[in-house]
This record gives sequence, C-alpha cells and structure tokens, in this order.
Amino acid sequence: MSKVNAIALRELKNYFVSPLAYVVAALFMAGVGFLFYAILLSTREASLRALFQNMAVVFLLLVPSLTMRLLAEERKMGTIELLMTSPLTDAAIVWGKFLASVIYLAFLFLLTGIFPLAIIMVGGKPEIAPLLTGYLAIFLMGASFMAIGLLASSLTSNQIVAALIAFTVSLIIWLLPAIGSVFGSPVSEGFQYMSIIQHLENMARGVLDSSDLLYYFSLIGACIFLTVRSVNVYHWR
Amino acid sequence: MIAVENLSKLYGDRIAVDDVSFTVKKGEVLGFLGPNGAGKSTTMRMITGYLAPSAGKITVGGFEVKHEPLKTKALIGYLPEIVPLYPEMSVRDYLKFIAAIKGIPGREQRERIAAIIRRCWLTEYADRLIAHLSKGYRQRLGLAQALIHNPPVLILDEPTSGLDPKQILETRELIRSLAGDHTVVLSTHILPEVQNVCSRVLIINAGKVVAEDAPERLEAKLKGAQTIHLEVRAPQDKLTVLLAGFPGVRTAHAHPKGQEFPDMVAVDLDAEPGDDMRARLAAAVINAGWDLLELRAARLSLEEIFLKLTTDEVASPAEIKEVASVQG
Repeated sequence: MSKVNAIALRELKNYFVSPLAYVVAALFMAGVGFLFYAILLSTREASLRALFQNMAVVFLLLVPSLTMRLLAEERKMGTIELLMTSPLTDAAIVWGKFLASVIYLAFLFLLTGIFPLAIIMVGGKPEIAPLLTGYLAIFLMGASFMAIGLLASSLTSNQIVAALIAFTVSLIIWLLPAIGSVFGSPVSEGFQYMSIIQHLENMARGVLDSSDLLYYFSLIGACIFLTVRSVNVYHWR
Repeated sequence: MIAVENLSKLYGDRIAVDDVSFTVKKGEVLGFLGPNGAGKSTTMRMITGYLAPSAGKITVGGFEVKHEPLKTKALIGYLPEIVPLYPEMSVRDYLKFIAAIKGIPGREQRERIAAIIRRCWLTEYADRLIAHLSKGYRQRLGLAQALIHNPPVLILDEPTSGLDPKQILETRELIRSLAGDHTVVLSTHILPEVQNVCSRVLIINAGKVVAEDAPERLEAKLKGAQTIHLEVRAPQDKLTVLLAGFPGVRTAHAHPKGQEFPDMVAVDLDAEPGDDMRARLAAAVINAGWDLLELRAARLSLEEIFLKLTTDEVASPAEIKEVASVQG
C-alpha cells in the first residue's frame, strides 16, 4: 500500500509542478463559474442540479488532458521500465496513478465548494440531500472519466492519441441513449442504463440508488482491470 | 546467483536473443560485450523481469523470474540503457521515490538516501532539478537509483556511457568495489572496461553467445596466430619472395610505405602459433643485405578478437577505421 501511495504522491507532485493542473483548474472554475451564474439568473432556484449536469460537460472536455500523460509519458520517457523492474505489481502502478487523479479531482471539487456557499450567503436555502448526492454523483462521474482516460493512456505512448481516445470513448458512453434509441426497446433501455449521464441525473435529484452507485463502481473497476491487463502486455512486446 | 537457460526472445519474426545460456556466480562481475543490436539489452531486460522471454528460464537468487517476479525484482538493482529519470523532480525527491517503491522502510530512507548521494558523488547536486543535470550526472543518478536498496544483484546496461574520462574511471572503481558482495552483470561496447572491471566476459553477436571466458584467457586463446609487423628498406618483390618461402609464415602482406619513403616496405605477417620467428626473421633480412627498420610482434588485442568474432570476415585495419569514423 505504501508503494501505491508513493506512486500516487509522485504523480500528484507532477500535476502540481506543471502548469497543467493550474490551467485546468482555472478553466474548470471559469467554465463552471459562468454556468453557475447563468443558471442561477435564469432559474432563480437555490439548487445546483442543473449545474451538476453542466459540470459533466466541462469534465468531458477537460479530463482527457489530465489523464493523457499518466502512462503514455512513462512509456515515452522510458521510466515505465523503472516501475516495471521495481518490486511492484502492475496493479500497484495503475492504482497509484488512479489514486493521484482522483485526489486531483477532489481538489477541483474543493474549489467548487464556493458555489453552494455563495447560495447560502445570499440567503438561499438549498436542500442538503440532493446537494450531497449530486456532489457524490459528479465526483464518481469524474472518476469514471479519469479511469477511461487512464485506460486510454495505457494504450499508446502518444499523449495526443491518448487524449483523443479518452475523449471519444467518454463521449460514446455519454451518448449511448441516443445510439440505443435507434434500436427500440429493450435495447434502448439497456443503453439507457449504460449511459454515464443517466445516473448523474438520478443522483442529482437526491435519490441514492444502489444501481447508480454500482454503475459507476463497475465502470471504474472495468477500466482499471483493463488498464492493468494493458500494462501487463508491455512485458510481451 | 543468476542462471539463464536456453533463453530466446522474438520480436515478431526477428530473433533478438537466440538460445542463450549462462550462469553468474555470487560475487562475480560478468561483462556482456557485443555490437549494437546484438541482444545485450534485451537479455538484461529479461533478467530484470521487464520483458518476458519467448522461451527459456531465468532464475535469480533461486527464484524463477517468471513465477516470483516480486522476489527477483527485490534482489536486483537495474540501470537501464536509457536512464529512467523524472526531469521535474529534484535528485533527493527522486531518490525518495525510488526508496519508497523499492520497499525501503520509511525510517531508514533518509539515511540510505544520504549515503547513496555521497557514494555516487552527487552531494552538490542533491537539491537540483534532474532536468538541469548534465548527462554524466544523470548517469550517476541512474547508478544511485540502482544501488539504493543495496541489492545483491546489479544489472547495469552501459553504466559508463556519456561519462567523461574521469567519471568513467570513478564509475569503474565503484563497480570494482561492488564485486564480491554483489553479483554484477554489465554490458558495454568499450573493451578496456571489460579488461578493467570484469572477471568474465560473454561476447554476444546476433543474439548468440559467441565466446565466454575470463578476459585474459579469451585473449590468450584467440590470439592463436601471432602477428608480426615488419618494416624493411628493400625491393618489394624480392622481400615478398623471401617471406613466402620463410618457415613458419602463414601469410604476408607487403605494401610500400608511401611516397615519403620510396624504398621502404611494410609487411604484416601471420605466423604459426607458438613459434617465435623474430630472431630468424631479423637475421634473414640482414643477411639479404637490407636494412631492418622495425620489427615487432603485434599482440592481438581484445578489440581485434571482438571484431574477429563479431564480423564474418576479418576486416582490414583500413576498413575498421572507416567503420569507426562512420559510427563516430
């Protein structure tokens, strides 16, 4: 476990010594801040539900840039050889990377804490339950995007290609209901369940359903599993 | 300590390592010698568990690499050909990270890092960013990384590449000091390094082991035919005739010394092994009434042995120079 922490810590430091972490945080806050303002003005509602859905779009655009280097850079620089010849399992390397990206995500969320605070300060009384489940949902969704990005990063040593794969795959999962509707019931319902945005909407309403949680956890688990397999293949090149 | 049995590695259709077997005893320093692309790095990568072999078995410290990779990896310190560094980290932070992933307990880390920084001459650079280090210091840091957990086995892929002459000497001294306690496998294409540091040499060419012995013995064994270099002031045709009939001479190549020395002839001749003909040769030249200007037995150096083993035909010195200048 301490080895996973070491990998995660190095990765986090890497995030914060490069301008990337700050650029992404700034863009994220600017985007989400603007959406918050626009939604609040138009709905006059003390809720962040609409905001959560819009945050998802911002994540879709920004997460690939955060995850693209995770494994692709290690391969390009040859440092993957160091990790893979150290007494570490391939899974420890992957979990360390994922942990770092989730911690970075938590940092972004900490910044968005000012939005509900702003509502409360101007005298609004947002419902706490949907706020918390909404945050949990958007966090899990962000983590899912991160896991998809990590998998994409393991597939190539080219960061741009990794980012494009991550973005495309995320977008496809997002748009599954639209794709499924072509086939009609029951296929469309299945696709509906597999859509990443569907579960966000449920949870943002304040409903904590185990099937929504299960969806995110299994998506993340599947991506991590595939990433470990993909890293394992490096031994066989 | 290391046993490699019938090891092979295929990259697609290309055979990089072809049925290689060898063992390295505890405390030994084994040198891998071979031209670029001979399979040295690939073999090392398989021993360290980075690459999986296509066939064959590797054991390190009694554990099989394939089945207990975590155990073998813990025993090995590895310096890859491309030194694996994170440019955005400082030397100390990098070593801290290495110490953690190598499993050095937290309370010992500080001490170990300080010791390895001293040992690899990095004291003044400890708080510099790796991005700002010169090639030589990166190489040293790579070595520090391999040594930090004091592993019983060291695999060093071209440990002196990119170092200046002083650093090369220091590094060789360091490697020599490791012998005995540590089992070392190092690869190089610098021959004096092998003579200097290694107790045994393995010459690899095109994925196969072509020779294996102590450097001195390898030299003695392969020396076989003695080479004699001769310079005489004499007509070339007559000298050629004399040498052709001379007992013990296998082949003789006579060529004019050049325009500045119009009547001088230089000869390189291969002599039968075990027969020192220098005295007889000198007497013959003098008796013929010519001036003997130079006569010396050329020792076949490890460099020449290496070339003999790794090239299909024996290249002439001119060709060797040409190749060297192209590669350089």
